Amino acid sequence: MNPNDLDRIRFVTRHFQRLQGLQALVPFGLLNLALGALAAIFHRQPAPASKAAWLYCLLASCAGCLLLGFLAKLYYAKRFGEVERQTAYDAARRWQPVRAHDQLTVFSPAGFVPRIASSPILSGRQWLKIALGLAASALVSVLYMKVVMEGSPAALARMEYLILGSGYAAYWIWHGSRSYQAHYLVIGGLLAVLAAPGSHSGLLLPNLAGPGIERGLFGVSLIAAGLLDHRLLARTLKRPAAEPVETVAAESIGGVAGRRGL
Amino acid sequence: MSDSPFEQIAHLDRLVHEPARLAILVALSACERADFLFLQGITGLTKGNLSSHLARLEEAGLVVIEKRFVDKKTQTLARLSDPGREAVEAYWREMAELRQSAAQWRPAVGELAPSS
Repeated sequence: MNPNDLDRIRFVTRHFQRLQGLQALVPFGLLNLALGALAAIFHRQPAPASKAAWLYCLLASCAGCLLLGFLAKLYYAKRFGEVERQTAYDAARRWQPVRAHDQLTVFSPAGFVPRIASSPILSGRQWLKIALGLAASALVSVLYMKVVMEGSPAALARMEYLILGSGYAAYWIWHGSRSYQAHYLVIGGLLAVLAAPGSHSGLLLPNLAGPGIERGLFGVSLIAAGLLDHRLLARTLKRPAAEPVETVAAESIGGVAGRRGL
Repeated sequence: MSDSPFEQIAHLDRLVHEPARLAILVALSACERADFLFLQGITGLTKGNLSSHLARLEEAGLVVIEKRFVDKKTQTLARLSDPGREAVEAYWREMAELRQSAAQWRPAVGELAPSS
């Protein structure tokens, strides 16, 4: 048991619901992929004829994604158990005394206390991240508006890839820049590459701008992130070890471990 | 903080310091409560070992065990008690102090002299 293991245990427990990629990110990604595909298929067809078909496809996609999310929820509860999240209020109330010891607990092998407790008490570093994030968001918003008003569809697509890529990277930084969450940075980087000048020229990549293409790629990125989150969860929550027969007989604690999949 | 690092190590709360129990307490400190299956997965312990460690923590008042019925099956949930939270917090504080004093520690004159 080393500090990294403890940090991983804490992180996975705290973000247990969010890491259930098959429940939220993958269905949402599939929905976006379906919407992208629908946009690509139907944008050239005459509107009256295609409208009903488009609507049926959309409803079927939504229903499929909801069903997948529901089944995934059942699967996670059965396979990994349940965790009740700590509310921000509880965390703040319980870890209030810790404030005075920040300078000590910063050396804790499990990490910095506000991050541990996820309390609303923000460190200077977190404030810096917020300030930089807001400044970057403002800059990107201005550029986006400019591109929407003046730019070509390809420029708009590049801008969207840049925003999505930055979003993934910001998400990774906000959650502590942990190596086992680096897939968010990789996905963000790949999307940012699509935003590079000349990337749509046909020399480096095929033209990745067009009806539904951006949305479809966004869906693919969500699916990838969801699957990798699921992989992190499955790797951390190992399948329980087989029970030696004599241990089962010896270890009884008055029913602490009842007979559910406990 | 006059103790040497070695004395500080000796004073560490053994109940919390044991790796499996520390893993349980760390997990419980990051949530409101968790069920047995989750704790088993996150610690990698067998049912028997986890039950045994939870029982020790419950006896010491650090953890509260709750039971409820879900689909006619008993579900066992564990949560950290207020003394448990304080114990975990105190443990990290002690570890931080230990780390600091270990970094500053220098052997006394003659302490490392050859024995022959």
